[in-house]
Amino acid sequence: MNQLAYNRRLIGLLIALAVILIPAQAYASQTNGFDQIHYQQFQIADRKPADPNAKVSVGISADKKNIYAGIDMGPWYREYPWPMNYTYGFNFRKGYSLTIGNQVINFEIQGAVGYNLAIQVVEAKTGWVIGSGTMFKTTNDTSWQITIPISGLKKYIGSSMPENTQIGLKNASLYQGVATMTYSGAPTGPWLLVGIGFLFALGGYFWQHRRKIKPVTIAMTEVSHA
Amino acid sequence: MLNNAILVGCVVFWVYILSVLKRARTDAFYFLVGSAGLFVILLLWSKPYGIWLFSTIITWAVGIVGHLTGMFTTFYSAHVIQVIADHHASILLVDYECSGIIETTAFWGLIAFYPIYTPERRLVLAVVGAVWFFLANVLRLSFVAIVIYYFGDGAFYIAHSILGRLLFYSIAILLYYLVFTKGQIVNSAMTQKG
Repeated sequence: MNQLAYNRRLIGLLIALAVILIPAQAYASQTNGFDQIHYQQFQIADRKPADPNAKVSVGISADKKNIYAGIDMGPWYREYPWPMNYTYGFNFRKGYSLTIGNQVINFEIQGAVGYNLAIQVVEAKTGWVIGSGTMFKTTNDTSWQITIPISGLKKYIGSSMPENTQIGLKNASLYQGVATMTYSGAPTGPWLLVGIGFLFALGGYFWQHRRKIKPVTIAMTEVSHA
Repeated sequence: MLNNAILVGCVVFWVYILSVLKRARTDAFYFLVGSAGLFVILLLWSKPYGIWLFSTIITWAVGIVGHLTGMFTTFYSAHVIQVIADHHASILLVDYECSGIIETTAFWGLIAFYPIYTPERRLVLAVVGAVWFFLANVLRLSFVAIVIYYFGDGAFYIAHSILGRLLFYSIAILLYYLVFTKGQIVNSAMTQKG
């Protein structure tokens, strides 16, 4: 393969890669982060009378850009003042705490209650909107899913999520316990390996270079003896 | 736009320096400047698509291991490896430094200017090196996920920072040794295979 053909093939390969990559990345960015939520079941907080079958499932997850959370509660059969926001006298849209490492962000849900309606995540202390989501409500069940962009939490965690961080979601008035997950990266330690690679290559280069020079020196010595 | 302009400017300057070094017959400097320059250019050029591609492929491949073992799941478009152990979710995020792109581009930079091999063999070795790092990284991430599955989050540090890295470094250094130190062996092996 001559140099020109080699260069042409390389350029063709790069263009083909770009043509595939750009739309593929656009498609991937539209995928749903809620698919990765793993729900845990929790006991309902001490509210009476509680339906015996009622439970609260809570899940959180995260990726590089967002924290995702979801709650599914019910079924509520008695004393449920449909379509109010209250369950046994408790407003289930209030009292949430998101814990990221040592930082605690208290928030509540705002928006109408109904099926497939948009809601907002509002920081309890400041009233700032820190996320958004969707409320899903059927006759006996209530659930919501929210997305909180990590970029909106700068004042708590800085510009990016710290490595190996515990994230928790709790609402002591609604369920007992805390839904937790651990968020971590797994870097290969690339820069040290790059350094080692350069050392190997340099060592190999000079070693090969020395081997190339050596026979010439020997040949000259032989000539002088002759 | 500004970044691209800077990148193009850097490439032009780098090519000019290389041409000067080539004409001056300073082989060692040609190798050093060529390798380091190509590495930096590839790294700059890889943002964001290259990093996305590497992270996606790695996460997807680790997902195959997770699917076969049933110990963890992956979301390749989000670059997330999720391990559920005792109802606790652990998220491993495969990003820039986890994807293997830095090691791979460094290897490409080195092999592209390594004078022991012909251009065709450099191309073959560049592909072999990329696959090598890829498989090593899949092995490392799968190992970390499996350890978390069995021993929980508490084992993450040992699994990732010590054992996982030792495993990855060993495989990577074996490649460096074969390609750069034992170049003549690789050359003769490639000659035999035509």
